[in-house]
Amino acid sequence: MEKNRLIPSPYLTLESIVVERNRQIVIRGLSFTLKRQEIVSIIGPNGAGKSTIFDVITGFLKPLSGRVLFRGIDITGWDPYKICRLGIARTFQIARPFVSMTTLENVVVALMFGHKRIKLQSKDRIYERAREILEMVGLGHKSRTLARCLTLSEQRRLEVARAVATDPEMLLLDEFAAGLSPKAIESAITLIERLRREGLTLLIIDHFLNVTARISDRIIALDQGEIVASGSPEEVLQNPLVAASYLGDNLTLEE
Amino acid sequence: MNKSRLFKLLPPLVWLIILSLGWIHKIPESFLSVLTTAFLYGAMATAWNIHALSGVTSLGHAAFFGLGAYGFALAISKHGFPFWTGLLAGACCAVIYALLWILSIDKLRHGSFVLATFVSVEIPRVIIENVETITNGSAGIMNIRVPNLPIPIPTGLQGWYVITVALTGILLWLHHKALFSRWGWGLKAIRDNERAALAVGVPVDFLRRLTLLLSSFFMGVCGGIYASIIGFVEPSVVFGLHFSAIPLVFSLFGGKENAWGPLLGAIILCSLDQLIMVPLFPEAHRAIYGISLFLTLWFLPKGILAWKKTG
Ligand SMILES: Nc1ncnc2c1ncn2[C@@H]1O[C@H](COP(=O)(O)OP(=O)(O)OP(=O)(O)O)[C@@H](O)[C@H]1O
Ligand SMILES: [Mg+2]
Repeated sequence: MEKNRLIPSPYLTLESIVVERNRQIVIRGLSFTLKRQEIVSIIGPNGAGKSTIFDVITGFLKPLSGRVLFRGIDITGWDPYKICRLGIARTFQIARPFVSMTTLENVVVALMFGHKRIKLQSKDRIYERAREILEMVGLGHKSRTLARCLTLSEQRRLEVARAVATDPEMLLLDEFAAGLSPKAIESAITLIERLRREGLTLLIIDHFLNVTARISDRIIALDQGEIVASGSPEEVLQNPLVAASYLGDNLTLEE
Repeated sequence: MNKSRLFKLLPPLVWLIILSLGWIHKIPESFLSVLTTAFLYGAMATAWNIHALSGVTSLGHAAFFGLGAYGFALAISKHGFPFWTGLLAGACCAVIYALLWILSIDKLRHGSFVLATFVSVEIPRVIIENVETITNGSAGIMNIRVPNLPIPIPTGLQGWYVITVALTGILLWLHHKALFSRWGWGLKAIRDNERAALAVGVPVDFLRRLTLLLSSFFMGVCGGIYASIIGFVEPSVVFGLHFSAIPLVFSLFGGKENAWGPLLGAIILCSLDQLIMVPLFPEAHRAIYGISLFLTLWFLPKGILAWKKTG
């Protein structure tokens, strides 16, 4: 594609990010880069700072120091809605549906406000696209259900649908497999691979290491706000430091 | 013409009919007076609710009302402004105060926001009470003589009726937009979950500030019209809790998420107050507002217009 060549080779760059929360440094000088159309997973024990990194990239938290660059643009400290419109969408670890809207309307709002590139003028076209997206995450049959009446696993899928509706170039999925049945996890993996084929770059947080190993090109292991290992799934999962950081955590390679 | 087109034309038509009542001379004064009051309160409640639709509750709209009234009164009686320019001047005072809210209490939410807005009413009031050379202090400004209007509407009460109904019409249209346009979807998303709204690209701060500015502007206009109908302004009256709380009562009673809710709430409760409570309990007629608020919150938390859906 013509467009790809114009994009500088590190697609997303984090430069020595330091984050403070409740007067505690929770991210200590973290740096990494992502290439276009890569699938990268961040793993680490509870409280390692995985979700905090998502908050920094998407503008919900301002880092104490350091920079975030997306396609060469410095987006550090931007408002979250601007970052969304620039093309980075995210899901939340705890689903945050618009509870008084139907499932379909949740997606419609994301279509209306999300990405600037999308110029869906007519109402019919917006609703049509919203149905397509719901179908894609397997919620087609629930389009008229109020979001507050969805099960937790359906709410997670709605999170993904809403993020996809903003027409992102990069998608951050926080704990995408948590609470999903094995069958739902399989279809989530299919969806992720399909999104990548469509040109998306994905950054994923996940606790199921076997799933992570299957889908990721690269894994970044985090502990107490620092990278302890990064590289191919085999490399990282066999790293003794990673195993040590998971000690006491009951999440292991088998589910 | 299909049905939905007809349905869209209906509200403006009804509005025109109600507006035209102002030109009919046979309508008894007392009736017209109750209606004018009801529509003015309806306009206030609708203006208040436009802000409330951004997911916060203000108990400080009396500040905008009072500043609108004072700005108008000073512009008219001290500087000889024409009526419309006077109204605009008052409304601008209200908007400037709203800008101060944005600079100071923009990040507050929930209870602390309510409290901050509530307290903020005291600031303009104390200032106005103390710069006596300009504002006449706590004695207020009496005998506001409203200049003749350069448009062909009746004089006296009929004229006020026409102006308040016209204003209510504008506000209803705006309120409808704040509920059902793209803008409205954004506000609904903010009410449901602010962080999620941000994450899907809703400019949360911008939308919330916009609703506040619009709301304060129209609250200021209501203050100006009130001052011109009553003919005087007094700090303790126009900055009173009454004007902060009553829009809230009407909105909740009628239904916050219904385009007609605040207006209908005002019309029903004002009529009950003026036509039934005042003759029966001249001392305690305002109890109707407290009682009705209590009953709505207890039985119909989404307002009376939602009764069909819930029960
Ligand atoms: N809202 C918050 N306010 C203050 N501190 C927080 C908040 N959320 C998380 N923290 C702290 O920040 C650190 C990193 O938390 P974070 O949520 O990023 O961890 P995580 O890796 O996503 O963990 P988990 O696997 O439990 O989701 C932790 O020490 C946590 O206590
Ligand atoms: Mg987390």
